[in-house]
Order: sequence, then C-alpha cells, then structure tokens
Amino acid sequence: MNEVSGFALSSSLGLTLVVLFGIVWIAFGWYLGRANKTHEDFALAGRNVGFALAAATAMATWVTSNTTLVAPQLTYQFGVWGMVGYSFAALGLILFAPLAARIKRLMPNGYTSGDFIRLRYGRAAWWVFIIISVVYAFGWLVSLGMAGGILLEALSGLDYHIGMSAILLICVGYTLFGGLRAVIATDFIQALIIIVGVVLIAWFLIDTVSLESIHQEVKSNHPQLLDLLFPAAIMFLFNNIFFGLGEIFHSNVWWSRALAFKGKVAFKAYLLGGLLWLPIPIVTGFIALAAPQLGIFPPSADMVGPMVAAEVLGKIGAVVVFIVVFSALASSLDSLLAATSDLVTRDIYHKYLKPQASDQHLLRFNRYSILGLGIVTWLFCLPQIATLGALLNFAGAFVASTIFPVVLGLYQRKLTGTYAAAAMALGTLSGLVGYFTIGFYVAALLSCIVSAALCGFGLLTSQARFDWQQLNEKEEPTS
Amino acid sequence: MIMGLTAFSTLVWVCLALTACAPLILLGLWLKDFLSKQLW
Repeated sequence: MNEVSGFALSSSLGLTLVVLFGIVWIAFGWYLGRANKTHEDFALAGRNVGFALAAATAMATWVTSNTTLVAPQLTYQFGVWGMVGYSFAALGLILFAPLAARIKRLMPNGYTSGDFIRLRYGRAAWWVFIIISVVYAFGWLVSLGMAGGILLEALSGLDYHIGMSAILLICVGYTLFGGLRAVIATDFIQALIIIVGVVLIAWFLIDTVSLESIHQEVKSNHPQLLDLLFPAAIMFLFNNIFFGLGEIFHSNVWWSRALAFKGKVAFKAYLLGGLLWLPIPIVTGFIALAAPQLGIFPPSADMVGPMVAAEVLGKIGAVVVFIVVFSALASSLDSLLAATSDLVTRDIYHKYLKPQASDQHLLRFNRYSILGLGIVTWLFCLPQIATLGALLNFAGAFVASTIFPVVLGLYQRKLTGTYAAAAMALGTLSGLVGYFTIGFYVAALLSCIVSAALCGFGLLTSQARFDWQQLNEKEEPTS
Repeated sequence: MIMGLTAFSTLVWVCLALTACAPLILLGLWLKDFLSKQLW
C-alpha cells in the first residue's frame, strides 16, 4: 500500500493509466471503423468474423467485472462452491454453441434476438422479451459503469465519479467509431490481457503465501468455506447455472455475435470460448481465500480480490489488477453498448417506428443510440445506487424466464406466442417473489421452473406447427 | 465434508494450467486466420 495516501496506486498513476487506455482504444476503434460502409458492417461486422476473433470475443465478453470482482466475493462468502459454482456459468457459452449454429442457419438475414422473438412468437411475446432485455442490459450496463468507478477509487483513491465517467467515455468512444468490428477486435486484445493478468496474480500469490498455508488457515478458522455440503452454496450453484443460461440465451450480446460470425464458425467459437472461460473463476476466486490469512477484511466484499492482489504484490500487483479489471469491464461494456443499441435501432426504431428508414439513416441512428445509452447509463451511475452483486442477482429473476421460450422456439414448432409470453412474464414475477421473500440465490431457479412449467403445458395443449421459413426475413431495399 | 489439501491444490493447479494455455491457443488461432486471410 502507498504509505502516504493509503491506496495501492497514486491518483495520478491511476488517471494516467485510464488516459493511456482511452487514447489507444479510441484510436483503434476509429481505425477499424473506417471499413464500416453499411449498417450491417457497423452492427454485425459484415457477418464475416473468423474463428480466432470469434472465440476470443465469446470468452472475453463473458469475463466481466463479475468474474474478476464477484467470483472472489462469492468464494469469500460461499467458499469452494462459490468459485466452482461461478465457473459453471461456462455452461451458458457451451450450451449456446448448438443454438448459435441453428440461429445462423434459420436466420441468415437476422440482426437481433428481438427479431427472432417477433418473427417466432409475435408482438405480445416481443414486448415482454424487450422489457426483460432492456432491464437486464441496463442493469448490467449500470453495474459495469459503477464497477469502473469503484475499482479506480479502491485502488488509487481517484474520485468514483471520475473513474466511472472515464470508463464510460472510453467504451462509448470506440464503440461509436468502430461498431461491432471494434468491439470484437478490442475483445481479442482484452482477452489476452485478462488471462495473462489473472495467471500472473495467481502464480505470485501461490509463490508468496502457498496453497498449503491458505488451506490450513481456512480449515482452522473458516471450515465452512471448504465444506462440500454447504447448503446455501449448493443452492447458489444451481441458481448460477440457470442465471448464466438465461443471460446468454436471451441476450442480444450473444445473438448478434452468432449472426456476425462467418459460415460455420459460431458453434466451435462458442464451444471453445466456454472451455477457455471455465477455469478462470477458480483462478480468480481462490485468491479470496487468502484474505483472512493476510488480515484483509474488505469494506465491500466485491473488492476482496483486488485487495488481496494489491496486498501480496504491492504496486505492481495493483497495476496488474487495475489493467485486468479495466479490460474485463471494457470488454463487456462495449459489447452491451453495441448489442443494446442494435436492439433499439433494429427492433424499436426500424421495425416498429420507422420501417422505411434507409441503410445510412439506420447507421446514423445506431450511433446516436450508443451515445444516448452511454449518457443514460452515466446518469444512473452517478448516485452509486447498489452493489454489483445485488444488481447482478436481481437480473436473474428476469433472464432465467427466457431460457425455455428461446430454446423451444428454436427447436419446437408447437410452442405458441401466447404461452411464450405468459412463461416469460409469470416466470419473471415468480423469480422476483422468490428474490424478495427467500433470497437472491433462488430468483433465477424459481423463474426458470415456472417458465418451464408453462412452456411444457403449452406444448402439451398446442396444435400449432410453426413454419421455420418465417424466420428468414428478407430486407426490403430502401433508398 | 471438508475438501482436503490434495483436492484443493489439484483443483487450483489444474485450472491455473488450463488458463495459462488459453493465450497460446488464441494467438495460434489468430496467426492461422491471419495467414489464411480469414480474420474478417
């Protein structure tokens, strides 16, 4: 720790790192954006992303602030099951692989997940889905913006509002210039930075403290953290699986990528991305178990990972943590900005308000949407309203209700829009009731179960036979 | 049931080794796509 200020980094060094990152990413976004001539180029990178960039963007986008901040937090609270449970979220990416291949096959001209719900289930289900998507995307955007401010403040003492504003400005900047192409290219570099950084931190921690002494200390003073039958932790494990599936299966962040990857790349990219992601929460999570031994009792549980790394590795460790978490935040923030602005542009503006809009008009509107989303997110981040974990778990009630409507919608002709809409709406309500009456660790589970029951009933009673050709919507040329 | 030292160490070391391999895999794939002009 810095002896004068009490922070691992000085404010001026923290600010210098932010400014350097900002200049490099925005310049890179501008450079890549020169290839964007049409709205399809901007929103879907010309539907031509190769395997290497596709796998890296799948992995990097899923490594969010939650993987670097919340995985250690959950390990600190739930022990071994916290980190193992978190790593099970890789199932979301792995199981999305066959869905992504099918999405690409059924909707070669599609743009968003909203397109699929509208064409497959009709307007009523589309409205429910859009509300869920916007609540989730916005909750995640705000949590990422806040994480940027919290991180900078914890590591360097820089004012929360400056850090939060800086990361939003940087991500809005390069997404605005480069679109999905910039998002995916920066994700590749950010993926490398994140992985090398977490491996370095873990390696130095083991070298300094040793796994034996961490295990001994936890076993003596906090044995419940090593208990494989810790009930709340096991409940968390299942809840997290459904939460992860819901997040990925419904979100346009993942659908727009599936549609942007070239040819048959989608399946193997998501599969590899998931396998590469699987061990990361355990590597970031076990760090938290060293906290009691080091006498670290963080004021906010989501800062346990960075505080342990900064304590063990000193200033260099703090710089590495800073760069890793900043990259993790940026790789998710840019994806959300791009995917949510696509939803606003395509689903709400183009398909609902202005069907005759030209391609160049949509390209301009998409850029305005990114800017608008950035400004609204910034306004919501100003009061620092909730902790990262609270925002994250609240969203579980919403997204888990979409798992069965999405999967059955892609593979089953019988499920109708009425049942899909009811499953998403009532599933979400049940999840919220569970969240407020039982606890955050059952919200996604309850939401998914109720939604599955309604979808099952819908399948049993339906005589409908959906024609898959209806998903292959052709664009009318407009001037 | 408490997780023993061997299981705990194995879990952490295996995950650390797998994570350390990831950049090599990604860079190898990038090089392959770059040389065959398949990046975009």
